[in-house]
Amino acid sequence: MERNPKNIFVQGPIQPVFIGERIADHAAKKNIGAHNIFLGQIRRDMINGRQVREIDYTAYEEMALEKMHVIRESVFSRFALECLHVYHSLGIVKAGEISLFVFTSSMHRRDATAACSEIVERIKAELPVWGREIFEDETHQWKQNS
Amino acid sequence: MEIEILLFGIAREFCQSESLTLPVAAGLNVGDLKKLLEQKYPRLKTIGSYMIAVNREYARNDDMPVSEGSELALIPPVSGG
Repeated sequence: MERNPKNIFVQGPIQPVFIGERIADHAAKKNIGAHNIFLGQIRRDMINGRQVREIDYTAYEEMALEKMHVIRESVFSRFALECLHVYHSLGIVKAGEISLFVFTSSMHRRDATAACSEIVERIKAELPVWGREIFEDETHQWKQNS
Repeated sequence: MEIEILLFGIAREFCQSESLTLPVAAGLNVGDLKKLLEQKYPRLKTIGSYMIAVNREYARNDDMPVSEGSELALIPPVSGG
């Protein structure tokens, strides 16, 4: 296993300006013809009459980074990607804010699109990350992915 | 021998701790570990399906051995993203 897998975690929400800056970072890369971007936003869900105010994310960070490395290697081996970046929030992210940013780039759009989609599904299925949904009334429950 | 298991998500809430240290018999496997944990903390049974990670890999079956010094973790259903 790679000694220092890339860190994907950021404290708090991912800011829209940050997303724009990451896109701008790639302007100089001459082989990129397509970006595919997934953004996960906290939905102001109503569950049993209680409204979600925010989600508090925690993770088994060392294992999550290793798993992400495995996913990254797998995707790079099957898709012609120029670049791949993943950012996941830890801590409190309020309804309406962004908690996941997956960004793939390729020469032609098919690879970026397919890779991005697969990465999102694998993150949600495999990464040891947990969301605690905190409601307006201060009660909470543990998020269940679908 | 003694083993330490890291706790995450709802398991942290149930056990009121980020990790547990337990004395166990040598030759323990993942299945034995789960039974032991559920005996000590019956609320863990309500989690439904949780995984045990051994050295940062999901243990795919209960036969997998647990040795002293392994990094162990209780992984409730994940909900990232």
